[in-house]
Amino acid sequence: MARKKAETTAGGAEANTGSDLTVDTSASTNGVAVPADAIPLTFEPIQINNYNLTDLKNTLDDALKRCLARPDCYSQIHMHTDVRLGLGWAAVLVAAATGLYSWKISFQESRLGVFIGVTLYALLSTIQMGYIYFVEGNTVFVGKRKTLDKRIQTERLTASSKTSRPKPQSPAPSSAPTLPLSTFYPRATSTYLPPHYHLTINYALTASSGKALIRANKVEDERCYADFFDSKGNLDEARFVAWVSAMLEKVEDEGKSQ
Amino acid sequence: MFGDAIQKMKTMGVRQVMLQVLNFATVIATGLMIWKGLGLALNNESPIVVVLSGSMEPAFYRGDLLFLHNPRNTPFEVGDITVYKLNGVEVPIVHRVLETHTLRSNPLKQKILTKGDNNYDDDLGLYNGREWLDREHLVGKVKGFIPYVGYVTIAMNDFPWLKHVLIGVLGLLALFQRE
Repeated sequence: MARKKAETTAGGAEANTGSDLTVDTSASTNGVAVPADAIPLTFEPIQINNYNLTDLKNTLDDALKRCLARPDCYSQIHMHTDVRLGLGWAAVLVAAATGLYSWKISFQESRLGVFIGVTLYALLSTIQMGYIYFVEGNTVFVGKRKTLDKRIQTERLTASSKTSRPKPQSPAPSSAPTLPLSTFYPRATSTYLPPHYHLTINYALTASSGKALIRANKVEDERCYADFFDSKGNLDEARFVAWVSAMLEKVEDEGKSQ
Repeated sequence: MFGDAIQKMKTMGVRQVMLQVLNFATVIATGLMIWKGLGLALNNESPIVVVLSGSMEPAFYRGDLLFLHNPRNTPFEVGDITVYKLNGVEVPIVHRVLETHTLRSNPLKQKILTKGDNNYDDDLGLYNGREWLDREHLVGKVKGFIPYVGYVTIAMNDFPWLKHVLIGVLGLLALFQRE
């Protein structure tokens, strides 16, 4: 299926990528910066409402999961989702059972059963919410990969994201004339830049099924949402995947003694 | 519209679909549990009722929401506003207690006569042949009320299609939106 080319952002926004990727200006990639050995991928066109911050974050989170869970990349561990589903459905079943019980038996006799049901439901709901808030937190993707390199090594990757509003840094003293912030970010105020997507990737390489830690790295970076979405809300997934791949390479290879 | 939704579901995967359905089911389950919990706390089957007629004006008007409490160990007194339900009658009635006759050996056995504030006569004509109400017929005592909120229930009773449309819309919203 031919890939539909989404409109790319104007040149002004590209000046602020601040990355060290080589810009490939060949016609096939349409001026998008990609690493030299990129696997050609086809992307479904995605268009969302630009002004909905939740939608922006969710779309990038989904793109992140698609990028990391590719067959040649990491295999996703669904533990957080499964715990959430398990606790949630258990609570719903308890509620349904309590409802059915109180419907069949007269009110005064069913008081104890209904009390147990309501308390159990409250308990399960609280545990589920506690798990989501404290244990899962900002985590978007957890995956692992097994490789054979003299011994079986397991790589474990955890990606978490949040929306941040960074403060504009005071400009470094340089001889170049500085342009006002509003050139690059038309909606910047003096105290905050537009919302950014803050991505944290944690990487751990272990051997002998998790007992020996060979290497652990963490990489954080944030980019403005405007870098990945155009004015109509189309997602430039190639650019996003390129950014994530660059971060992945950095987190996997840092500290590797070759 | 549905084709688009089904397409979206296919790209989401089993777990995501189950999460969406869980959202919907949780909303219903939470509502049910809050209702049952309130019934337990206030010790009666339907702790919240809506006033349908104007027989208790100026205290309660049509469309008011009433909170009922069923006192287990205290007898009813003259002046309490109670809701009672007779066996043959579908709709419970909220009126004020006019007379009580209490058994001396067991203060929880009472014979009660009620009357609506806005009615000319007492409720004898509504008792379906009985002369007095027993305590068992009284569902509860009114503890508090919220005005006007009950009109939603009245509208949904008078126009049942409204109920179905509302549930349908809420269901679709919960299923296809991500928090």
